[in-house]
Parts: sequence; C-alpha cells; structure tokens
Amino acid sequence: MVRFKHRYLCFEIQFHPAAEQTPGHQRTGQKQPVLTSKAVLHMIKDQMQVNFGDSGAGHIVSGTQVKYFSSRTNMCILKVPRDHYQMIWSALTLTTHISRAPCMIRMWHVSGTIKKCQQAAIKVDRRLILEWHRQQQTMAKQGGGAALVSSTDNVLTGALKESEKDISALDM
Amino acid sequence: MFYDLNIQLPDSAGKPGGHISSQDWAQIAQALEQARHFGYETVALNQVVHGKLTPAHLKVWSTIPQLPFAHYTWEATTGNRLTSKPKRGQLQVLRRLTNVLSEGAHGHALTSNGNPSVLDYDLVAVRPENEKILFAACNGSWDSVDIISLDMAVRWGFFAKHKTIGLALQHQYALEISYGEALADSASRRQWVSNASSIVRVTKGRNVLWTSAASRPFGLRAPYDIVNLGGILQLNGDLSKRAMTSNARAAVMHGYTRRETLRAVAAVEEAVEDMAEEEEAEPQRKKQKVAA
Repeated sequence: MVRFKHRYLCFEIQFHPAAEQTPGHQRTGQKQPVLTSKAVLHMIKDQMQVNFGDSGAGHIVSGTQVKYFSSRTNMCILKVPRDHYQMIWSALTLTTHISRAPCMIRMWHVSGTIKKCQQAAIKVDRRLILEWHRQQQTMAKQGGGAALVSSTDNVLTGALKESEKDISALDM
Repeated sequence: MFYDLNIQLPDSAGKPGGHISSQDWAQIAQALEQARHFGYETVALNQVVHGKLTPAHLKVWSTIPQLPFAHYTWEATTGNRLTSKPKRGQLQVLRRLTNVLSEGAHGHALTSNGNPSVLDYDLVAVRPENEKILFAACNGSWDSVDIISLDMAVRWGFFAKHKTIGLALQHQYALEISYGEALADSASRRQWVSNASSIVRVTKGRNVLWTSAASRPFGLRAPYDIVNLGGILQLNGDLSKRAMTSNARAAVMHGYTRRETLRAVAAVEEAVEDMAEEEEAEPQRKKQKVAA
C-alpha cells in the first residue's frame, strides 16, 4: 500500500505594496477584506475553477486543507495533493483579486512536511514584525520620549512570541 | 541573478518628446521597489514606440527622476555602462526600446547605420504586427534587434513556424513571453496561453525570456512563482528558470556587444583613472583592454 502524498504550500496574500506592509492591527489605513481560512479555501477553489475548469477544480476537492491562516499577517499554510500542487500554485500566482480587492499571492515555501513550512512562516512573520517595529521606533523617536520606545519594545517581544506560538501550535 | 526586462512606461512616454506624469511615475517607482523586494537584480524600463524611431524619442529618459535604490545605467559617466556596477542591494535599471512595426520600411530605423539613436538603448525589442515583419526581424534584416516580442494578448492570424523562429534562434535573439497579459481578464489569459505555448513549442524552450510587462507593483510576481507558471506552457522547471536568468543575461550581453563592440569581436574600454593618479601608482595600468 502506498501512502497518499501531499505538499505543503506556505504563502502570503499581499494587499498593499510590500513597502507599506505592517503587521496586525496597526496596519495603515486602506480598506482590505478580512479573510478567514474558510474564505481562503473558497478562493482557491474558485481560482482553480477559473483557470483549469471543472477538471482542475475536481482534482482538489479532496485532500486540500488550510492548515493555518493568520488574518493579521495574511500568511497561510495549505495542504494539497502532491500530484497537482504545481497547478494549484499556478492558480495562486494568477490570482489578481480577492472579493474585488486587488491582491497578489507570494509563495514563500513548498515542502513535503509541515514542519519546514512552519519554520518558513515563522521566519517571514518575524521579518514583518521587526520591520514594523523599526518603523514604529523611528516614529516614536521623532515624537520624542524613551517611554514610547520601550513600550514598542514590549509590544515587539509579545508579538514575536505570539506569532511563534501560533504557528507551532499546529498539529502535525 | 533574476532579471525582469520589461517594466512598461506609459504610452505618453512613447511619443517624440514624451513625458511621464507624476502619478504614472509613482506607480512605476513602486513597481521598481517591489521588484527589488522580490529579489530581481536587473530590470529594464520599456519605452514602446510605434513606427519610426527618432532622436526626439530619447528626450523622455532625461525627465526620469532619481530613486535612491536604483542605479540607472544610462547615467553612468565613467567607463562603459555595464561595467559600472551598482552598489550592493541596488537595482540595476536598463533602458529598453520596443518598436512596434507594421511596415517593413520603418524597420530601417533599427539598423545602427540607419539610426544612431538605437545605440543609446541597452536593449532593443521589435514587436512585429504581421508575419512579413516577423520574418524580416527573425532573419536578421535589422542588426540592432535583441528581443523579439510578440503581443501575447491578441490573435496573431499566423502560425509561429519552426522555420521563422529557428532563424531567430540562430541569431541568438530572445523571444519574449510577458506574463502581464495572463494577469488580465479571462479572454486575454486564454489567448496568452495559446500564444505563449506556441512560442515554447517552436523554440523547445530555448531563448525564451520571461518578463512582466508591468507598470504597477501588482503586475509583478516573485521569480519562483513565474518559474512554476511555466508549467502551464509545458516549459519545464529548468528552462523556465533560465528564461529569467541566463537567457535574460544573454539578451543584455547581446545588446552590449551590439553597442560597445566592433562587430562583436573587440571592445575598447576607456581608462577610468586620471592621468595624474596613474603616474603615482607603481604598476603601469593597461589603458585599453581588448576583450575577445
């Protein structure tokens, strides 16, 4: 008996140009849809239908699963059947809109096990959070006041720990 | 290591003495930033010119504002353009011309003795609008061509034949496939798949060039996403990756040899140092370097 094999795709949905990306609730102004893991799965099925028709959509009816989705960073880990992962990846690349908001999907990691995907997701998350922290700090410095700077430091360590805990908490 | 040789300037830049509005430029600047973020190291700004090229078309390049992270090759003052390397982490920006041709007579502007303005571009692409022009371009009638760029979003009305495209491969012309059309509506995507896969079929994946044809940040995709997208066109991973790396580099070098060398045999590099400095330095530096 041969095991049914999967691939894990770790990707990010970007709604703003990367330069303006900031994590979480501090996100700057512009309107963008708040997604859930259910909405992401729905979006993927739609995209497969649009790009590869019924046969494409049929291939991913079973075996596709959203393992992790964070609405703060828009990172997602998706489990897909291995035979069709390139098709699904292409469909993600060709995505230009999610519920009429222009967006772009960037693949960060493709792996045979979920563990490496988690590690990749943590790495990307860290970078986003640190970038945001740097911005906040320069803003705080301009505003003056060491208290403000140290308070952003506290938020930083909190946010880092939280993201790591979130992602590693997935069952393997 | 990754190249995107087509960031499109707006139509207004393609006219003689053209200009780029500040909104358009803001989008392009963001696209360049995004490209750098995605790990592209070299991009080309693409000016699309319909019909005959004149020196007045070059004026728009002097109006392009500076960006802190970008290194414009055409502003390098010392040495030749490609050897003046950008600083680490900077994006190298080339300039490219795409000449849309529907009449063979206009193609004379793409020969270096017919029109010296083409020598100011790092890359010259031709977009043939009918089969006759395509044949002339592939056949090497115009010596200043580096890239053959067919419009992927429209019905060509002719087949890309082995015989014609084979000639282009002999001349080491790159064949451009831009994925921008695939990100538009569904009709355009369908046409894109049809046209692009026919290019892949006749070239067997050689000399293919992936470009974005984006003029805004969301028209870009990360390099490996595009490598994977080649799967739709039956382009395997290796060839697909080469279409953004070594093939693109080959196209840039093709432009370089056309411009800076004598019949692609010998190149003369200017000595960069001042004479005074040179006297101080003990070993006499070669002032002229001849590259084979």
